Amino acid sequence: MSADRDKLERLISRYLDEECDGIERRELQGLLRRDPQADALFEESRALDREVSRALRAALGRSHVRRRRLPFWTRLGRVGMVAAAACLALLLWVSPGGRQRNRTADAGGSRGSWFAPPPVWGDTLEEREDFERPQVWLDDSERQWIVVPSDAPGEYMVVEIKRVKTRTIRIQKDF
Amino acid sequence: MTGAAVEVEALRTLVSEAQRGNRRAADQLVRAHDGWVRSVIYGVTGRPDLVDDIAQQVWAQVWARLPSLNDPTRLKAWLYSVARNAAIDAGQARKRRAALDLDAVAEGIRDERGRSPLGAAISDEMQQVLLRAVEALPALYREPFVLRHLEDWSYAEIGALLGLPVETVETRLVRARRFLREMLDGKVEA
Repeated sequence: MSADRDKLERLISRYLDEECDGIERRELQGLLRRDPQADALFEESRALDREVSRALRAALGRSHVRRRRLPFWTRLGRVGMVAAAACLALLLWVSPGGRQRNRTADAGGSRGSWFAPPPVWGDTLEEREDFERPQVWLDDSERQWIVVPSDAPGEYMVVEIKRVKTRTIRIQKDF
Repeated sequence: MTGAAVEVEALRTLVSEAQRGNRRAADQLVRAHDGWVRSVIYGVTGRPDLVDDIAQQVWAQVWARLPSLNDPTRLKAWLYSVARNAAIDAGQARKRRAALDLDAVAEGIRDERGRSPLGAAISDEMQQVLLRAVEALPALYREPFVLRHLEDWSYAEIGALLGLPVETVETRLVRARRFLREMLDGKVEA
């Protein structure tokens, strides 16, 4: 294996793993432009990575969506937007009108939780004192839902889990 | 208090709550770590069909041994060693079963199940080829490769879990890709 080939493979691997800095990225782009064989190796590696990722995720019942590391300014922008939304929500809650609305809603028994909207009037669930942990299975489905009751009555957190289906195999031989 | 210190404190609280038997804290721990624990198991065994069973054993062992974890900041390293050992044990047990030729029966059943309509069969066949190639990788290279592709972790994150320098992680990923290219020569279209 020549040193050039070794370096090219390393650069391609770093690029595919999003570990390249700007200088390395430019170096790789230059190499790919100049050398068709290098370009072919890059395309082959990229296709292989994509297909293997897809196969691995399918085999382990994972989503195909890849979490990509976003550029610093994009991440900063998102954090800023979340912070602004939180400030706005806090201002609305602190304002006398907002709190009054909350009190009225609580008195009416329609308090919403952090994960669910308030119930629609006339569509309320009866509270139970002796609730168990219900599990809902959907036959022939890869989804499993677990409903976890919260501390407050009438509030539940629904967890959806996507899993590879459990297989049932016929017994072929009696040992 | 810095962000990292806050995270460490939150982890300490979560682990000690789980150690005291708090169900909610235990649920939270599983949700946060089950994904990568499964990736480690797959990385060690190379067999997706074994992952569910071994993961169940791992979590059963974790709950039994959790009170012995004195330093909650080492949770990830501790979980890794439990998962890795369970996967290695399961691999050895499978080899013993294979010696008794019981796995040959299971392989036969798996082949029967693979028969499906044409379109699905082609894609299924390709997936099986790719999975067999990953299974054929030396575990040394498969572990970082799987963590990279399933968890999308950086070299630094993989190195921290496996206890390897970043350069070693990088070298192993380069070699894993080289092995796969050689094994799958021409089978994957660019």
